[in-house]
Amino acid sequence: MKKRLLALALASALITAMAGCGSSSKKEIPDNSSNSNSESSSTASKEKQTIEFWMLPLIDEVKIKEMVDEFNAQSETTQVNLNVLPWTDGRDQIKQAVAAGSGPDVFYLSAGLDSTMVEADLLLPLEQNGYTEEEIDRYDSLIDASIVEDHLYAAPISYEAYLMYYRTDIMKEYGFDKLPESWDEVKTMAAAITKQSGGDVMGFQFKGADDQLNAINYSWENVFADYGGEYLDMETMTSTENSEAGVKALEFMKSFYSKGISDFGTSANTAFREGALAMYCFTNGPLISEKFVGDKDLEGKWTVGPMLGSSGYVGGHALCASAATKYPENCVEFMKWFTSPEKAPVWMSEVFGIQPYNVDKLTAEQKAAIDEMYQTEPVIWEALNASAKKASVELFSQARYGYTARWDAQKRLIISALNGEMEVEDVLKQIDLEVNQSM
Amino acid sequence: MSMEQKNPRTVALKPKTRNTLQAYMFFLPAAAFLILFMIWPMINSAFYSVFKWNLAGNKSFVGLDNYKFMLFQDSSFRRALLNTIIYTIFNMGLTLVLSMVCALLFQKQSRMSVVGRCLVFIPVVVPITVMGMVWKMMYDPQYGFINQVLSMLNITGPSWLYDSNIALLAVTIFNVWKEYGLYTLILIGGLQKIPQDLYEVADVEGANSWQKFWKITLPMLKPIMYFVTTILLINSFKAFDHIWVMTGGGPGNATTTVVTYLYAKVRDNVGLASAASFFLFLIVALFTFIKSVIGKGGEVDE
Repeated sequence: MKKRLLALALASALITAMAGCGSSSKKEIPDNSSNSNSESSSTASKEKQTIEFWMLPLIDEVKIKEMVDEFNAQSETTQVNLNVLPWTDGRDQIKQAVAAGSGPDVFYLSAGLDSTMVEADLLLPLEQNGYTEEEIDRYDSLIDASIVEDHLYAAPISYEAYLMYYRTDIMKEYGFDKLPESWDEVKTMAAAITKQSGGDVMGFQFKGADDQLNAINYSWENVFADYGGEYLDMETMTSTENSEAGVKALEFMKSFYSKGISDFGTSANTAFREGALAMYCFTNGPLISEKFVGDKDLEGKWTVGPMLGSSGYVGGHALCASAATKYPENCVEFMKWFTSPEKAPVWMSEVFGIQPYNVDKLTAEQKAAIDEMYQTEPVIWEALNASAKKASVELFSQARYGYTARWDAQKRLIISALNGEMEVEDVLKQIDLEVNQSM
Repeated sequence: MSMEQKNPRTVALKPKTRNTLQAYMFFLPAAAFLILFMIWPMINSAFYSVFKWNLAGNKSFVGLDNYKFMLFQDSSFRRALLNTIIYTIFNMGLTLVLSMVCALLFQKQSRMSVVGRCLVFIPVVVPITVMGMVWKMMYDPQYGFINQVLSMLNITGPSWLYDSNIALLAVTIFNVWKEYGLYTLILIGGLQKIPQDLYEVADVEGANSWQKFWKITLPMLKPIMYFVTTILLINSFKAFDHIWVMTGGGPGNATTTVVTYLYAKVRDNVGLASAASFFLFLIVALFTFIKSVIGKGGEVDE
C-alpha cells in the first residue's frame, strides 16, 4: 500500500512538473539591460514582456535576427522571440496557429490581408492599440489595402511591383534600339526576335509559364488589371474573372504561345541571364536573388522599365498582431519599430522593397535616408515606383477575398488556357467556380 | 503452502483466458496507435467533409454539398480523378514488369546479382523530394540532361514537364525508377522461396523457360504478387510528393491527382479537402476489395 501511495505521489509530482513545462510561453523575464546596481523595486517595474514573432525570410534570416536583437537591446518593456518560417508553407503555418489560438503575437501577413482572418476577428485593430491617426496618415495610398471598415490591421514593411526586364544587347542585335512602350509593341518585337533567331532566342516570356508556376498569378494580374478586370463584384461578393476584360486579357496572353512567340519551360531568369530570352516581366525579386544588379557579365547588356499598360500588380509584406495577444501594447511597440521609416532603407537595400511611406510627410532626416537609397540605382527605383504608382489598389484589396482558392486555381488554369488545353472562357468560368465555392 | 493461501486476493485465471488477455495486451499498443493516428483522423475527415470551414472561422454544416460540388461541378476534381486512375494503371504496370524482370535477373546468388540488387535499390533510399528536384532539372527542355542526350542523337526532346500531353507520363516514369527497386527485392524474396525441385521436374518433362515462368514461377509467386500489387495500388492512388515537387499538379491540370487536389484545397476549404480525402479512401477500399475477391486473397491455386 505504501509503495502504491509513493508511486501515486511521484506520478502526481511528475505530471505537475510537466504541466509546469507546458505553461504559457508568455514569461516575464528580467530586463538584462537594466542597471545591476538599481534598487530591487526599480528592477521589478522594468520587467519585460515576451512576445512571439513569426516572420518569413523576406530578407536574409541573419539580418532579421540582427534587427530583432537590436530592438531587444533598446526596448525596456518588450522582449521579442523570433521564429523564421520558410516561404513554402510559412503562411499556412501562421494562419493555422493563429486560428488555433496558439500562434504568435506578431506575425507576417500580406499587406493586402486575408479576409478569412479579418472575418474571424483574428487580427488586432492597430488604430485601437497605439497607432495614432498621424502615424497612419504618413503612409502612401496603398495603405488602403490594409484597412477594412476603418480598421488598420497590418503595418506594411514594403511593397513589390512588376518590372519589365530587357536584354538591350539582344534587342539591338535584332534592330530594336528603343524600349517598347505598349504591350502591342512588346508582342511585335518579341515575334520578330523569336522568328529572326530561329527560336534560339525567345522574344518574350510571361513569368510563371516557366518553371516558377506561382508567378503566373502575378503576370496574370498585370494583364488582367491593364484590361480593366476586377476580381470581384463587391456587392454580390462573387468572382468576376470570366468577364469581357478577363477574356480579352487571357486571349492576349495566349496569343504569345499560340503564335509561337513564346514557349513553356526553361526558367525565364536563367534564359535572360544566358541571353536566350530578350524580354520578360517579373517582380523586383531577381534583381537580388539572381544577382542581376552588380553582375559584371551583364553590365551594359540589360535594363528594366516600369510595367506596361495602364495598371498592374502590386503586392506587399506587412506585420499583423494577433487579436488574442495578451500584450497588445508590446506588439504595437515592436511593429512600429520594425516597420518604421528609419528601417525603410533596410528593406530597400536588401530586396528593392518599395517603401510604404509618403516621403513628403516624413521628417527631413527620414526623407534624406530614403532619397539616398533612390540614388543608388535610379533607373530601377524609377521603374519600380512608376509600376507601384499605377498599380491597382482595388485589385490588391479584392485579392484578400478567396485569396488561396484564386491563387491555386489561377496557377493551374491560366497555363491550361495558354497551352490550349482548355478554352479561355472555360478557364475563367472554372476559376470563378472555385473561388466562389471557397468564399 | 499453496499460492492461494499466501495471497488470498490473487485470482487464478484459466490458461485460455490468460492467453487471450496476454494477446490483447500485446495487441493494445498497436491498436491504440492505429486508432489514434489512422482511424480517428479518418473519422474526423468524414466528419469535416460535411462542413464548410476555412480554418480561421466557424464551421458551417453544408450536408453533402462538398461531395456534390466535387463530383458534379468541379471539372478539376474529375480531371484529378482521371489522372489518378491513369497514373495508377501505368505506374502499377511499368513497376511490376520492370521489377519482375530485375528480380528474375538478380535472384541467383552471384556477385553480379548482389551488385545489381544494390544498384536497383539505390533510388529507393534517396528522399523522393530530393530526387524529384534533380529529375525536374534533368527534364528541363533546354538545359536538362535528358534532352541534351537526345540532342546528341539528333532527336529534339519534348518539353516533358511543361507539355500537358506528356507531363503525367514524365512523373510516372520518375516514380517507376524511384520505386521499382523495392518491389524487385520483395519479388526476389518470393522467387527464392519457390522449391527448386519443381523446376527440376519441369526440366525432366522438357518444359522451356517460358513455360516454367508461366506454369511454376508466376503461380507460386501469387501471395507475394498479391502483396506487391496491393501496396502498389495504394501507393499509386496516394501519389503526391514527387508530383508536387516536379509540377505542382500542372501544367494546367495535367498532373493533378486526387491528393494534390486535396492538398491545394485544405488551406482554405477543409471541408472540400476532407470530402476528397474520404472519397479517395472509399475508392482505394473498393479497388482493394475487388482485387482481393478476384485474386482470392493471394492464395496459391492447388
